[in-house]
Amino acid sequence: MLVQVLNGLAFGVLLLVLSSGLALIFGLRGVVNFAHGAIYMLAAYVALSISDRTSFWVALVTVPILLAVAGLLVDRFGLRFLVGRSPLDMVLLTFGITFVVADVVQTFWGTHARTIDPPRVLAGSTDLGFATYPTYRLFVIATGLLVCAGLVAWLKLSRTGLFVRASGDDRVTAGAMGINVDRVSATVVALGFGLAGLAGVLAGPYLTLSPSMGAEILITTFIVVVVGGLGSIGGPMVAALLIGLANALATVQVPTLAAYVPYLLMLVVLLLRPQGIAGRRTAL
Amino acid sequence: MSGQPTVAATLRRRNRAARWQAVAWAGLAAAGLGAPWVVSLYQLQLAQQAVVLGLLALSIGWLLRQTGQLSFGHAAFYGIAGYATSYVAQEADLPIGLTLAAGVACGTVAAFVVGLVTIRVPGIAFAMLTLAIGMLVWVAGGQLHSITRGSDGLNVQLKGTLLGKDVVMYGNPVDAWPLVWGVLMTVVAALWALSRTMWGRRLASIRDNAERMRFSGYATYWPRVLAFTVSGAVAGVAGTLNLVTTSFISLSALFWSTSGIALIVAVIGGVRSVLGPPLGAVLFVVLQSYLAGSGNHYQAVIGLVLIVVVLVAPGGCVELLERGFEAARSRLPSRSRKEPDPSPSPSRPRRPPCCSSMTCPSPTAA
Repeated sequence: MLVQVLNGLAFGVLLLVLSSGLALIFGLRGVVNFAHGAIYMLAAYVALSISDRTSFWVALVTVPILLAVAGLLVDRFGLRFLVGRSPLDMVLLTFGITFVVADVVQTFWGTHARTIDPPRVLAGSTDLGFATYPTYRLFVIATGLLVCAGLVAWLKLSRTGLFVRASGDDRVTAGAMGINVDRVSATVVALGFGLAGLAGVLAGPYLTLSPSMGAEILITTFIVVVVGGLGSIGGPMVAALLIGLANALATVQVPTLAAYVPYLLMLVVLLLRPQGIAGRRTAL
Repeated sequence: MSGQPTVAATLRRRNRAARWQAVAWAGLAAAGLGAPWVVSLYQLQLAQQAVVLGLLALSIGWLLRQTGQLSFGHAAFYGIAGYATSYVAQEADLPIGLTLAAGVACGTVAAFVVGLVTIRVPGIAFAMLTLAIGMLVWVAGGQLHSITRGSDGLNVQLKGTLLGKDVVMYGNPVDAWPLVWGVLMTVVAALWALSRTMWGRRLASIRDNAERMRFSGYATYWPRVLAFTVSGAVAGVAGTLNLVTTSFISLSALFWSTSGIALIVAVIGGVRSVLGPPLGAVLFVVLQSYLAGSGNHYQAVIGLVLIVVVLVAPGGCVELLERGFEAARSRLPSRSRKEPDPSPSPSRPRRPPCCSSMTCPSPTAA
């Protein structure tokens, strides 16, 4: 049972890293990043190539940075032109990116399933007293929680975090107060892409790499964000852990229904609270 | 009021435009029927694919045009209609017309139910929610293996006589063409007419400012549920038509990329006009068949085209055509235009346009 909870936690933390990037980009740019799943997949494949040539640790550091740079480019040459236009245009733009990335991945890495080997230190299992558990998953849980704690601290405590929150709440006023909104936006989009990249690297040795992995997890991430509430950061974090746990427990207890669990959770939450657990109704 | 267009003048101009659009539609419908005599069998087959994809794109595009809501879940209604048709055809011995109607009806009912739940959800969350529900249907389809046969797909034997021909004949594009073309043009005309009714105008007003409509005492929920149902019905027609012409359906019909491609097609063609999505479908099918020979990079190309269209011409190809048309017309001598452009009178500057909910102050704010 406790092992199931840990499994749920590991998947939940992965969703946590992904959905906080998504929620961050939405909160500031008003963009639902449909390319998030594709970026996550691209990160996993790039990590595969890098860790084959050097080591997993190099990939863990470089891949999020590479994708953050990609995020900067997308912001500079795409999203920035769409400020003031319908938010649906931004959705369509990121949706276009999804198709391009999917094609790139299929061209360079093929369509068959791959896995990344975890580094030797994390390869075995650890004795936790009540059970032995794969070390790598513990590493995923620890890293993910650490990163998200850092993200929340950055948003709540630092000066830049204050700017980010202010620009998300009211772009025009924040600009009038002397905040460089364009630069803040670029930072946030880069950070969001970087988080998707980190999730991709972390997922590499834990899940299987396939050209459909992005689309699959994107749906779950959307459910997390809708359940948690668009426009908030804390709500999706709670929802990610909730859905991760519910998923893992349902897989053991009611295997036939497990595939439906995230959807059912989403439907229940939306029927009771259309804006999600912590969402603001006016944000949309 | 000198120089200001009166309401009557605006309506007159609009009616004149509508008359021209109706004439253009009739011409296009008649010309399209001649396609089998002009193009090769392979091209006709492509055209038939384009019609089915165009219908699906039309359903999504029309919803976006009338309600401003972006649906990523229409593959569900497309697939449900297809599977329902095949199921009814196998299990019940109904006349073929009723079988097809039952399939479309199932897609429509599914859209109605989904609309009831999702239409309340605002803006972008709606897009994510329809995507999630579409995937829920896909998951369910995979589990109902006895009905759907999963990704292996289902070969369906339809029996009976449809419009004076054995339904098996519709496997041949030459025989099927009048049917598919007729369905497309009928749907185009019907959706165009619907958007000109009182209901269609009300939908557009709700799209532009739902809050103001609600304050003015109009229902904002049921008109949109109805619009979603109508659009789901069109997706259902596309699914059933696909089954009739290909006699095959598989789980990929339900997968989200089916909706995604249709949405891209609608946007590339242009959602401001009813004919935009079918136009986009033609472009897509042509592009796909052209790229099929060279390493099949149609995904990347179509993604790039979408990105460029969104950045450069948000109105899609229809907008580009209109711009070209306007440019050509402005070169003509001005006597060809009887009605001069009304310009705002200098003494009374026109109020800034107030059309999107983002710029309008809410009625309470004043």
